[in-house]
Amino acid sequence: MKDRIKELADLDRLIHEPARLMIVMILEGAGEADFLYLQRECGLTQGNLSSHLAKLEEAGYVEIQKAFKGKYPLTICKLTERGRAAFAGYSQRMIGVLGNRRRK
Amino acid sequence: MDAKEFFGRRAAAYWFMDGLPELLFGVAMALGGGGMVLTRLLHVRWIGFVGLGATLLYWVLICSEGVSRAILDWLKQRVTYPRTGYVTPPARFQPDAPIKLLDAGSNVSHFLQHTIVPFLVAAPLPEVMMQSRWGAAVGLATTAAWLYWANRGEEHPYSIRSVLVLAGLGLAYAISGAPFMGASMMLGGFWLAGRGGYALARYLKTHPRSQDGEDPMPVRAS
Repeated sequence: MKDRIKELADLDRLIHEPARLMIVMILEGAGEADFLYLQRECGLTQGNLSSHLAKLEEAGYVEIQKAFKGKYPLTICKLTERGRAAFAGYSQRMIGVLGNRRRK
Repeated sequence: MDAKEFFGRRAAAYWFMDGLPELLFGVAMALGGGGMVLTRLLHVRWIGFVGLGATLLYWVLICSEGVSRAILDWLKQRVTYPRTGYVTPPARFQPDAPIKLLDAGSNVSHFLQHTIVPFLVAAPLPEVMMQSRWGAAVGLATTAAWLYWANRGEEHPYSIRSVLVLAGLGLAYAISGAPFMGASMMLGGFWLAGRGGYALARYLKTHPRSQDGEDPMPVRAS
């Protein structure tokens, strides 16, 4: 019991937040995506998405680059290796915790 | 299907949301098929050159993924990215099973197999089976059903190949003596372009271009 509580307490809170979890999952599957695509997929406001991305970038989980596709400027977001590892660890932990709960 | 695969497939399907790939390849197919029909039916030298040019254009678009991707990217920069954003295009075709090699089911981004292979599969059938009116119909319908079944799990479950094969069959019957391959390609191309055009019109209606400005994310210089 104590182990499970400890596991829950050790969850990466940066990723655990639903909006950020969504962003990380989308980037993990899609490779790279721009701001508009993420906004549409997550259903977040510009300000909200911007602040979540800033937090992920600060933690080194997401890399944000300005790029141009022709004349159109894009804000392209990509998961870093660190972000990928953090998400893999988070998934493992969640599966462990939920798996135990299901068996009970 | 795990989350990574789910979001990957979703991103891959996004490539087709605006109908531009179908439109481009539909037009290319109609041109290529039209070229083949013209060259076969009309034995005039300049028409032969036009037909050959159209067929060559088709092959360049279909066979060179770089060229078709560049054209699509150019179109999407003006239509799609400003409206609904950019995400990594689907990966290049990598066959992982012989059945998929035949129909490119593993990746819908590569149209070579999507547009060519059904015809290669279908084209010899009428030769063998045209003696019996229903032989050709059953043969092509079976091919269509098989191709659809083999690729039912792909990220954008098209029935394009099936419809193309069936359209080719219809045309083979409707125009007796017309070169099957070119005529069916032309009809398939029109169908594909029509489908793409409809999808594009719907997309443009649903996603008007945003007037908000395009730089919502302040990014630190790195």
